[in-house]
Amino acid sequence: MLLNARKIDHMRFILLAIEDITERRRSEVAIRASEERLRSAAEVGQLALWDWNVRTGEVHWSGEYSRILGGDGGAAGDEKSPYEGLMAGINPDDRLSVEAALRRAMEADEDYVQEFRTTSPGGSVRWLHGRGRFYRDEDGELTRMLGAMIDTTERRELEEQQKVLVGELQHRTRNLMGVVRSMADKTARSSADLPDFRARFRDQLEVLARVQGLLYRPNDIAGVTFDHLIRTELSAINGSSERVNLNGPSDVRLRSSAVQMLALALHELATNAVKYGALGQPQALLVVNWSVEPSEQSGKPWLHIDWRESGVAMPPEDPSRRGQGRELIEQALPYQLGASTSFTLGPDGVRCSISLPASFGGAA
Amino acid sequence: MTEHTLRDCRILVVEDEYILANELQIELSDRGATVLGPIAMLEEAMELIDQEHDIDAAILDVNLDGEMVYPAADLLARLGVPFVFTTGYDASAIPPRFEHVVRCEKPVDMAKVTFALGRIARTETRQR
Repeated sequence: MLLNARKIDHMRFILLAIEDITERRRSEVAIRASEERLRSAAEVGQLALWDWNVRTGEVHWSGEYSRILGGDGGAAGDEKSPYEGLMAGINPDDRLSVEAALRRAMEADEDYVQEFRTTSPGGSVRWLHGRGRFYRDEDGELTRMLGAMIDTTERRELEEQQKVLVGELQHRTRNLMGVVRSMADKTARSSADLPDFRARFRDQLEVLARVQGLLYRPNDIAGVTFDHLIRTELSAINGSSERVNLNGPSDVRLRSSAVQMLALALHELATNAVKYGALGQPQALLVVNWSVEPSEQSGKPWLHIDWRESGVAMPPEDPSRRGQGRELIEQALPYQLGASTSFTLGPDGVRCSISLPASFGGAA
Repeated sequence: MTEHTLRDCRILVVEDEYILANELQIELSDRGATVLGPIAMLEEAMELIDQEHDIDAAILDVNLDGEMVYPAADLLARLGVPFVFTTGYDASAIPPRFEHVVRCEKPVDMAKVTFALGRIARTETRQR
């Protein structure tokens, strides 16, 4: 109830007015609650709101806009300024297009929708996506424009990254096609007949397919470890474990560009070991040791791999037989990975050592 | 086809993938060219360009193990040595200053590469 009393002197009585304001109070509370809800929703949704009085040119905006512009994360309150003040926050390169888009929306009576950049006083640039609508009075005259903006900087950065990734994928795929073609040519030149070519080429394709599988596991972007690579290659050719001894740290990560070439080299060593060496003879043994040590010249870490077969009854050597595998180890690894390598046929088995610059922590 | 033979041309090959570099080397040699390189790394390519004053043309892989070949391309351009790119990238990924450079998309067509190199290689060589 609202009680209004007034004493009126010369009349010697009091005027009393009693008014039931239950409804008014109720609606005030409701309005406050609704405002609070809107404010919270805008804050939680990180929406920066603006309300532009087109007649006076004054713009009210919510604290979120100041927060985005200032980039300080502080909870600034609502602010108002002339239209020009709001425009000052917009990146000079985008100002003209923002004004043009506003004009277009105004003239065509359409919603304003645009993505533009803002620049903070400190110079940091953010992307905002804005939507707004013009309102008119009964006479059709423009009165105000209401709108909301959301910070899309991170989304745009992700989109950029995605573009780079797609480009990278295209580059790698086309490169791989080139490698497959050259490999086919090369294998064809050194094949005895078509069945021989077929078997060898399929074999190489399988190595490449395995490598792609290792390289593009969505949940393991840290990179392929040497440990993983050698186990994958040995298990692919059924290198039986009792004749194989693997010793080395399990956390040596390989650069993704090194994985393919190294896999091909390991595969050549392994298939030759099955055909002529330690993996094909029950009395023989294959030991692979690896370690990481700083290089003598640069001090940067190098991965040293030592592949040693022993107890092998060596078959009479046919130099053409190991041609492609040797070329990979003696030519391709040094050329492509900056590796130093050696390959020797010992009296009781192959000995191969490969040293290459190592990388840790998943650098690709 | 004589205008496109690479006889006595000194061609620099920059390609980081051994198998592709090897293929280029063989194919270019088969067509009469003298191959300089092949070279896999940008730094070494820059050194060779610096020291080698007799290059008639170059074939450059755009991406050398994650490094872009552009500094070498700029150096060649300054020295007036023509070059072509081999690349798996889209045309839009090449900086505008190289938009006139012939791009041979991977996997490269050797006939196209030879044709392009033969056309751009410095002509005085073939008159020697």
